[in-house]
Amino acid sequence: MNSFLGEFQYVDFFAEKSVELILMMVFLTTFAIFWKFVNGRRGSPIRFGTSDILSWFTMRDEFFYHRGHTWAHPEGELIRVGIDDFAQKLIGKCSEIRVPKIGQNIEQGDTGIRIKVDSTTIDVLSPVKGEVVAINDKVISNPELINVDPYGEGWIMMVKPSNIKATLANLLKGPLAKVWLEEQTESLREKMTGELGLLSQDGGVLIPGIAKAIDSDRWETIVKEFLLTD
Amino acid sequence: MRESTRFTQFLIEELKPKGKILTPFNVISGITILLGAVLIAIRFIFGLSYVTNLNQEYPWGLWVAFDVMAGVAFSGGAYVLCFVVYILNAEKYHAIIRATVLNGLLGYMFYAGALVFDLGRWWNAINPFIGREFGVNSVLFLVAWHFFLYTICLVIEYSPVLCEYLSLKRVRLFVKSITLGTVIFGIWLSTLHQAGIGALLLMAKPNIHPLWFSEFVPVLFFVSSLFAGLSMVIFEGSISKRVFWGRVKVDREHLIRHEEIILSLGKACGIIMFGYVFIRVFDFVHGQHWHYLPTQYGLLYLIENIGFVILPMILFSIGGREKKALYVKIAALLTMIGVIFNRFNYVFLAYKWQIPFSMKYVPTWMEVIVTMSIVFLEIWAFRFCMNRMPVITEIPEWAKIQDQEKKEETVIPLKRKEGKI
Repeated sequence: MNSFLGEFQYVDFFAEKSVELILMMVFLTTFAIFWKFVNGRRGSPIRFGTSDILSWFTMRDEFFYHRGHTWAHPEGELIRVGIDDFAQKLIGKCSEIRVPKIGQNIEQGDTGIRIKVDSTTIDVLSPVKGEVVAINDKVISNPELINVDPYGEGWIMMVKPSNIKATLANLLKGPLAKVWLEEQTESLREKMTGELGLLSQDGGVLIPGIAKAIDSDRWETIVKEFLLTD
Repeated sequence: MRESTRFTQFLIEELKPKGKILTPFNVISGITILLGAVLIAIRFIFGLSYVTNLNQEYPWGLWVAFDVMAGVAFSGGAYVLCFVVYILNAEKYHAIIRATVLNGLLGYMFYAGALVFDLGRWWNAINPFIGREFGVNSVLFLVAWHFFLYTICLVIEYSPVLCEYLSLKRVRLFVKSITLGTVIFGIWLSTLHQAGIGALLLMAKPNIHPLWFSEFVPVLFFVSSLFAGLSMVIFEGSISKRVFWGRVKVDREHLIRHEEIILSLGKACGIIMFGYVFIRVFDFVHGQHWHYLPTQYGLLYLIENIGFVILPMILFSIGGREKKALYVKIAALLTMIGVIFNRFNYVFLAYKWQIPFSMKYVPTWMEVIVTMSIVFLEIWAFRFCMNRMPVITEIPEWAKIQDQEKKEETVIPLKRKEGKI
C-alpha cells in the first residue's frame, strides 16, 4: 500500500478542498469583473446601427461648421480651421496633408486642403475666405493628429479673413449644426445597410475609415459625396 | 514542352531577389546562416557533443526548448485563427488568416524540423513512419505523427495561395473544397500535440522543479499555446506592417482591419491569460509549494509569472479596453519572451534542480548560432512568400471569379430549394 502511494502524504482533505473551492469562487468572481473591464464600459459611445449613432460623432458647441465637414473657430482677428470628427472618421487614417502656402488667399467653399489616404487624394473645402497666416506644422509632420484630436491638436491652419462676419454668417453653429449632423448621420446610416456587422463588434471597435468599410471599391465616391467635392 | 519552359523561366525569375541585397539584416543573417550550416554539418558528421553542451544529465537544451517547444507554441496561432475563421465564422479575422497560416507552416517546417538536429541517432527518425519500431507507447510517437500530419494540413490550408501564385486554377478549386475538412483535422491534431509536448515532461517528474512540474503540464502547454500563438500573430502583423506594407500592394480588407484585429486579438489574449494565471495559482495551491518561494527557483518562478504572464495580461486588457495598439504590441512581445522563458525553465533552467547552478547546462555559442540561423531562415522564407505570393495582397481576378462561381453554385440551389428563387 505504502509503495503504491509513494511519496503521498495524508492531508486534511476538507481543509485542502475548501481552499480550492474558495479559490474557484474567487476566480469566477474576479473573472466576471475582469471580463467587464476588458470589454469596456457599457454603452460606450462607439456603437453603430442604433439610435446612439449620433453620439459617435463629436461636435464642439462653440465651433462653426461648413457643410463640407470642416470647422472654423474665431480667435480674435483670426480663424482657426480644421476638419470635423465626421470627416476624419469617414476617411480614416490620413497619410499626408497638403495645405495652401502661408500668404496665399483661399475662398470659402473652394478646395483648400488636400488629404491623402493610402494612395488617394481627397479634396476638402475651405470653410472660410481669407489669407493663410499660419499652418500647424505638427499636423503636417504627423497627419494622424487629425484622427486623434480633430478639434484640438489636429487643427490645420489659421486664416485672416477679409470679412469675419460675412465669412461666419455662411457657416452653421449650435442647434442648426446639430440638425445638419443628424441628417448627415442618417444618410450615412442608410448607406450602411447590410454592412453593419463590418463596422462594429461588441464593445464597438473603432474602424479606420467608415467609407472603406461601407464599400471598399467605391469609398472615394462616398467620401466625396459627404465632403461636397464630387 | 513550351509550357514547362515557361514555368521554369517563371521560377528562375521569381527566385531572383527583390529589392536591395546588401542590407544590414541580409548581411548579418546571411553570415549567421552560413556559419549555422557549417555547425550543422559538424554536428551531423561528428555528433552532438562537438557542437552542444548536451550530455546524459541534460539531454535537452536550447534547441528543444526554443525551436521545438517555444517554436511550436508560437505556430499555434494558425490553428486558433483557423478555428475562429472557419468554425466560428468570424469573418473579421479572414484578412489575416493567410499570413497566419504561412507563419504556422514555416514554423512547423523550420522549428519542428530542427528537432532532427537534436536526435542523437537522427537516422532513426524515420522509424515511427515506416513501421520499423513504431514506438506506439511513446509520447514522442504521437508528437512525431502529429507534427507530420499537421504540417501536411498546413500545406493544404496554404495551398490556395500557392495555386494563385502559380496560376493552377483547377488545383485551387480542389484544395479549396477540402479546406474545411483539413482545418477540422488540423485543429484536432494541434490541440492534442500542443498538450502532447507538455505530456513529454510528465515523465521527467523527479527532474523538474516542483514549482513547474504538475499533472496540469499538458493543460498549461495547451493554454499557453493559445496566447503564444496569438501573440505571435500580433507581433508578426506589426512587423509585416512596417516591412511589407510599403513594398506590396496590400489588400484593402487587410489594410482596414489590421488595427481592429490587433486590438481584438489582444483582448482575447488577456482573457485567455487570465484563465492561465488561475490554473497556475490553483496548481500552486494544490501542490502546496509555498516553501519553495523564498528560494532562487521561487524567484525564477515569480519573475516568469508576474513579469511575463500577469504584466502582459494587464497590458493586453488595458490595450484592448482603451483601444491602444501599442500596449497590445508590447504585451505580445512580453508574452513571447515569457513563453520562451517558461519552456527554458522546463527544459533546462529548472531541470535537474537538485544540482547547483554552477553545474547546470549552459548552451554553447554554437547552439545559439544554429538556433539563430533557423530563425533567420524562417524569416527569409516568410519574406520570400510575402513579397511574391498573394498573402496580404489582393488575390488574382480569376480566383475572385472562381470564388464567386463557387458561392453561386452552393447558394442558388439552396435558395431554390427553400423556394426563395
